[in-house]
Amino acid sequence: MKELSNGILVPLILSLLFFWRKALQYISLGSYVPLLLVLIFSVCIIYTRVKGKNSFYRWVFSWFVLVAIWSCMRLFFSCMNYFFKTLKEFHLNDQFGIRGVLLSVVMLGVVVYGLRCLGRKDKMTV
Amino acid sequence: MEGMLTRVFYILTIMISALICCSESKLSDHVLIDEIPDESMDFQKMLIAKLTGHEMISLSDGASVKLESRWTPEERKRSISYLSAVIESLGEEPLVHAYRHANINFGVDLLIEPFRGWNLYTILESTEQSDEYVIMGAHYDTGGDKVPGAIDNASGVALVMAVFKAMKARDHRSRNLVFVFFDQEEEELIGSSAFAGLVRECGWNVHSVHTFDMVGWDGDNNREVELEMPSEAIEELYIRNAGELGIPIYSTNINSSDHYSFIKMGFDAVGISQAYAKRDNSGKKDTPEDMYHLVNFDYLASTMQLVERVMKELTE
Repeated sequence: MKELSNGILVPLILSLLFFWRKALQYISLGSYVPLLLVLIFSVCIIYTRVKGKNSFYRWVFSWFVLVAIWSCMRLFFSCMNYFFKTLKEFHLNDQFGIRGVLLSVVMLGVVVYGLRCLGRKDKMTV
Repeated sequence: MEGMLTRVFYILTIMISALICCSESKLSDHVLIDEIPDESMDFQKMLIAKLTGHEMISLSDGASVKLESRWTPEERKRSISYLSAVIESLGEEPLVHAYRHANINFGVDLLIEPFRGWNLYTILESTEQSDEYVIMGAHYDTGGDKVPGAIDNASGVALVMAVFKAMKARDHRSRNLVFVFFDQEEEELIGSSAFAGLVRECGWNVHSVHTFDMVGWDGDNNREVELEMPSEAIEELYIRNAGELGIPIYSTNINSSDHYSFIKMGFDAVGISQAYAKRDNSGKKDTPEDMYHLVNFDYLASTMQLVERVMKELTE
């Protein structure tokens, strides 16, 4: 099994850990959607890695793309909240406020970096 | 060079993540309470004045603060601190129910964090052996920034607190009474849903739940009261008592307030309000104009009289 570069491994672990934290938090509140998502990806990523299958990189790529979409959606809602119609509910307003934007940007940065490293690895393979 | 940039990127990521995760504000201030007025109406005026920023709240460190709304966590915690101090000064123990609650739509859970809030409650035990509980509640949060929320719902909070004071003064109560101030009614009834869950978890034998939302406006001065989704037994109880006091009363199927959280969980609950369905409203709901001077204290006193009477009957 080839060693995985830190450029892929660290963003992968960071993003998975973030969503596992969310999943565990929501399990205690009786909601299982975050768990389902992170479980499917974690199992597939680990399984394909252990078995040395080529689909491992496809799963990692899909995961990074999904997290990038997640961040972009949050940034979109933040922009809507800031520039167009302010949300009246504090809970939503807060999630899409400055802290929310920071979190989305950090996650986007993490997965974009991971995607870049994935792309570089592909070039080297070719 | 690239290796160093990578390291800087990771360190920044970890620092920002830690900053986001660890920024929690403190829960309570130490509030000083002025003398509690004997008269019920003066007591209610004091509560509404403090909760709406009409009067400053004094803190034990000599500072004083003004509540411009009860919307952000800081403002809601400050409101809880004030109400806790009032409960303490009336000789009972305030209990904070801190909760987290999933979003209403499960798909949204992926995108955002769960709700977080604080209900405040106190239990007035029965004077004779009883395992039955009657719950009275009102939400204390407001529906927006810079919204004082005098009618919605400082009026409901003042009514519940005044009934608490009146019932505390009685030397006979055949049932336990729970007085609760819900958080996040304006955000999908989350506070009352969480509290209803707590009640079910505790296994309390609940006789009935009475929640109050907007009881401070009476444009046509007819003292009319609205019952929302009452059971037959509760409806009869209120109608009979209102009849004896000459208060007009009617029932509706409105389900947009805290009573609905309890009804959904199978409790016998009712919402009590001004004539909301008949559009006898100030029109200032969730606006910065929902201020202290809008509250009709005579109407509040009239509704309080009805509720106190009902509670006396329930604890006879």
